[in-house]
Amino acid sequence: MCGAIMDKMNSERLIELAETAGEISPTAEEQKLLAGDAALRKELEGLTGLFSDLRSLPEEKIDSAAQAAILPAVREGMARIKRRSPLAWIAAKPAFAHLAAVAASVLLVAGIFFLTLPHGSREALPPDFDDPENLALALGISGSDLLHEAAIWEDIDLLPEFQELTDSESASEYLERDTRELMETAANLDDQLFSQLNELLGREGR
Amino acid sequence: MSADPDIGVVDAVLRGDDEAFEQLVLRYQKPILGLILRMCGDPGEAPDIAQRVFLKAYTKLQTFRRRSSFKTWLYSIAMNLCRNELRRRKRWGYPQQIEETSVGVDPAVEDGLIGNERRQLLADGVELLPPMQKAVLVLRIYQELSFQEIGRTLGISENSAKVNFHYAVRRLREKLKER
Repeated sequence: MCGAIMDKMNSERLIELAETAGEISPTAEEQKLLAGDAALRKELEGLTGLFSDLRSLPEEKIDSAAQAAILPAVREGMARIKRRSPLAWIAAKPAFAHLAAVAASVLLVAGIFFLTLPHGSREALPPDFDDPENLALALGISGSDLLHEAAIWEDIDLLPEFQELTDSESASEYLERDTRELMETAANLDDQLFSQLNELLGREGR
Repeated sequence: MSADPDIGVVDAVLRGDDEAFEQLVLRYQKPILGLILRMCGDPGEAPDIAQRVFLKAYTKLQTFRRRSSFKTWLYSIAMNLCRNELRRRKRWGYPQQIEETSVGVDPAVEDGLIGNERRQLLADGVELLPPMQKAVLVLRIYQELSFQEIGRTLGISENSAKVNFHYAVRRLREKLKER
C-alpha cells in the first residue's frame, strides 16, 4: 500500500519535472519505477519529445542587413528624442522626473478644477464619462500636452501625423473615432495619473 | 535573485552614457528579435518592433525599478509591443497569424528530428494557443526563462505561469493526437 503511494508520488514528480523542465533526472528508486512501468515511460517520452520537437521548430529568418540596421536606427531615435524635446530628456533623469511628475500632477488637477468651475454660459461637463467623446472633451484641457507626451513616450512618429490631422477640418472626426486609442495611449503613458484623472472626473460626474 | 549582469551598464546609461545603451542593444537585439518573431511572426516587421522596444527602454529606463533583472524588464516591453502589434493587425484585418508563419519545407532541416507534418501541426498548434499560454510557452521554450522570470515579464504569478504552461503543453499534445 505504502509502496503504491510512493510510486504514485514518484510518477507525479517525474511527470511534473518532464512537463516543466522538459527533462528528468530520476533517482535510483524512480529509475526502478520507470523500468517497470511502460505507460509512465511512454508518457515521459511523449513530453520530452514534445519539447525537443518544439525547440527544433525553425524560426523565421531575419535578413542580416535588417538586423544590423537596428543599432543605427536606435541611435538615430535616441538623438531624435533628445533633439525633439530636450526638456523631456532632462525630465528623464530621476530627480527631474520626480519634480516634473509633481508639477504635471498639480497642473492637471488645477486644470480639471478650472474646467469644473461654473463659467457663465459655458455648458457643464457631461456627466457620462464612459462615453469616449465626453472623456476626450475632458482630456482636451491638456490634450496638446498629452499628445506631446504620448508622442515622446509611446510613439515618436505619432506627433507629426496627429498635428497634421488636428490642423485639418476632419480633426474632430479623427478624435471621435480614435478617442479610445488615445485613452489607451494615455493609460499606458502613466497609469497612476490616468486613474487619478478618471477618479477626479468620475467624482465630478457624480 | 542573482546579481543582474546589466545593472552596471544601466547605471552608466542613467548617468548619461548613451554608448553604454548601445552595448545593451547589441547584447539583446538577437534574443529580442527571436522573441518578436516567435510572438508576431512577420520578419519584415520584426526589426522595426525591436527598434521600438529599445527606444522605449531608453526613454523609460528611469522607471526600471530593479525588482527584476533588466533582461526580464526588456522582455516585458517586447511582449507589450508584440501584444499591441497583434491587436493592430487584428484591427486592420491582417491575415491570421497561422497563415503568416506557416512552416514550409526547409531542406536545411529535413534531416531534423521531426517530420514536416508533425512540425506543421506543432507550429499551427502554437499559433492557435490562447495568447497568455503562447507567451508563456515562447518565453519558456525559446528564451529559457524560469517560471519566476516569466511571471515577472508577463505580470502574472509564478504559479499562474506554470498553470498556463501546463495547459499549453496539454493542448499541443492533444493537437498532435488529432493527427
